[in-house]
Amino acid sequence: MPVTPVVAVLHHDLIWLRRDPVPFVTLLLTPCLLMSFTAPLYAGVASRLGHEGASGADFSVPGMALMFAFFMGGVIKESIFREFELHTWNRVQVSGASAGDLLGGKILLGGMLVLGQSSVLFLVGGLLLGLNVRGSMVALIVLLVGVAVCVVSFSLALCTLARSRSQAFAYDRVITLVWTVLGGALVPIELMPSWVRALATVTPVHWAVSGLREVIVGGGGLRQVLLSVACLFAFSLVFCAIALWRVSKKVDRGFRW
Amino acid sequence: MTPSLRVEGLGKRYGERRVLSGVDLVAGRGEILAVLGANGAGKTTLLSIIAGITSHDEGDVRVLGVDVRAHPKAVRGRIGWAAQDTAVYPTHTVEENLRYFGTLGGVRRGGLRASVDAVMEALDLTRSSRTPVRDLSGGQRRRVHAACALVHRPELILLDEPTVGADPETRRDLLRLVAAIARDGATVLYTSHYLGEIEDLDARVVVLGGGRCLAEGPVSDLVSRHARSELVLRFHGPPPTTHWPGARVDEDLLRLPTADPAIDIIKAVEWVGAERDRLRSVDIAKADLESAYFNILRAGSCP
Ligand SMILES: Nc1ncnc2c1ncn2[C@@H]1O[C@H](COP(=O)(O)OP(=O)(O)OP(=O)(O)O)[C@@H](O)[C@H]1O
Ligand SMILES: [Mg+2]
Repeated sequence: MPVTPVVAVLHHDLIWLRRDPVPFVTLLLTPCLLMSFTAPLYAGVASRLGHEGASGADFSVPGMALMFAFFMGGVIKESIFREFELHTWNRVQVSGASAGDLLGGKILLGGMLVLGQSSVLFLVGGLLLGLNVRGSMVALIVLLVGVAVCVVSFSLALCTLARSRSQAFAYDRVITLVWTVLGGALVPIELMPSWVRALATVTPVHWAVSGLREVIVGGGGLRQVLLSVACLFAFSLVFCAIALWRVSKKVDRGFRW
Repeated sequence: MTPSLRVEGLGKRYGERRVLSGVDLVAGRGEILAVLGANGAGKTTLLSIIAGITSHDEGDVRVLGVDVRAHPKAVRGRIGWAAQDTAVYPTHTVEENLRYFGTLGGVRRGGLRASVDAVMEALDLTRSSRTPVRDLSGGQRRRVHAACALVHRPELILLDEPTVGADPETRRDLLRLVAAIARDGATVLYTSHYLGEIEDLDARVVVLGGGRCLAEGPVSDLVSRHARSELVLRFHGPPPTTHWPGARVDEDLLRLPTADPAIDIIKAVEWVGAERDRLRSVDIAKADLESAYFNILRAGSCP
C-alpha cells in the first residue's frame, strides 16, 4: 500500500521531534510542576467558591493543561517555519506533496501532541495530585479534542498572519497569556471583576475552562458541555477561515513570508 | 511525441523589474539542456517557473505536456528539482531524507530500499547513510540535496548549480549520474557556472542574457559559431603592431585568431622576427565553450 503524503509528512516530523525532544518534554514537565505547586493554593479557592468536596488539583490541572496546550501550538508553528527556513516548503511540493498535504501532516502532528500532552497531565493529576473527574469521561475527551482542534487552528492562523517566525512567537505569547488569564484558567472567573467576566466570553479558553469545570467539579455529561464544545469549534472555524484567507493571498505572491 | 518541456514566449517580472522576456525552450526525452548566464540572468527564476513554484506573467510553460501552474497534481512526483539553495533536513539522516523524498515522489514501499540505495551508491553516500545531514560537510550536504531530486526517478530533472562547493570527485560522480539518467530517458535542465562541466556533459546549451535567449545549440555548434582558436603571444612590454586579421592587444598579450593553429604558429613566429628578443611565450588558446560564451555575452544578440 502506498504511504499517503500526509502520513509521510507526519512520520517525518515525528523523527524531527524524536531527535530534538526538548521543547516537547519541557511542555510536559513544566505544567506538571506548576500543577503540583499550585494545587494547595487552589484548595482554598475551591472552598471559597463553595465546592467543598473539590481538591486543588481539580482546578490546577485543567488550568495548566489549557495554558500549556496553547503553548504546545508553538511546536506546530516551529515545524511550519522550519520548512521555510530550510527551503523545503517548495521542494516538498515539487516532490509530490501539496501544500495541503504538508499542512495536513502538521495539523495531525499538532493534534496528536496536544492530546498526548493533556492525557499525560490529566493522568498525572488523577494518579498523583488527587484530581477527581466526577462527570462523564466521554465529555472530558470530547472537550479535550475541541481544545486540540482550537489550538491547532489558532497556530495555523498565527503562522499565516505573522510576517516572521519571531513575530508569530511574540503574538503567541501575548495572546496565550492574556486569554488564559482572562478566560479563567489561572484565576477562577468568579474571583475577577465583572468587566473581566464580560470579556472572558470572547476567549476560547473561557469556554474550555467552563466545560472542564462542569465535567470535573460539577459531574456533568455530554449534554452539559455541549455549548462549550460548540464554542470551541466555532473559534476553530474562525481561525481556519483566517488561515485559509491568508494562505490564498500568500499563494498569489509565490508563498513567501 | 510531445516534448518533456516546452516553453514559449515566457516572460517574468518582479515588480517593475523584467527578469525574463520571450524565452523559448524545447527539450525532449533523454536530452540534457544546460542553461548558462551571468549572475542575475534569470536561470533560477526560469527553473523555478518550470518547477511550478514561481508564477510567470507571459507565455506558456508545458512540462510533460501539462500546464504546471494550472494542474500541479498532474506532474506531481514526475519532476525532480534541486534548487540553488540546499533544501534538506539537517536533523534527519541521509537515508531518512532520501526515503522521505522518495515516498513523496511516489516510490512504493517495496521499491524504496532499492531506489535509495542506488542513488546513495551513485553519489558515494552509502557510508554516511546513517549520519544526520547536519554532521556532514558542505559538499556532502550538496550531494544529498542533489540525490533527493533523483531518488524517485523523475522524468524531468531540474538541477540548479548542483556542483557548487563539490570536490572534483563529487563533480565527476554527479556528472556521470546525470549523463546516465539522461541515457535512461529523463530530460535534464542543468545550470552551472563551470563551463567545463557543460562540455563534459555534451549538453545542448541555452545562454540567457538581458532576460532573453542569446544563443542556443549543442556545445560544438556554439563553439564553432562563436569561438575561434587564438595564438596568444606574450611580450616584454607592449606587443608590436600587426595587420593580422582580427588581432587584439590585451596589455602585454597579442591575440591572433586562427583557423589552423599548427600552420599559423610558424607564420606568427616568423612575423615576430626582429622583436623575437621581446617575445616571452607563445600559447594556443583553443576555441572552447568559455570563449564562445564570452563572445555571445559580448555580442549580446540572438543569432
Ligand atoms: N523573489 C524575488 N523578488 C524580486 N526579485 C527577484 C526575486 N528572485 C529573483 N529576483 C531577481 O531576478 C533576477 C534573476 O534572478 P535569478 O536568481 O533567476 O538569477 P540567476 O541567473 O539564477 O543568478 P545566479 O547565477 O546568481 O544564481 C535577479 O536580478 C534577482 O534580483
Ligand atoms: Mg541562480
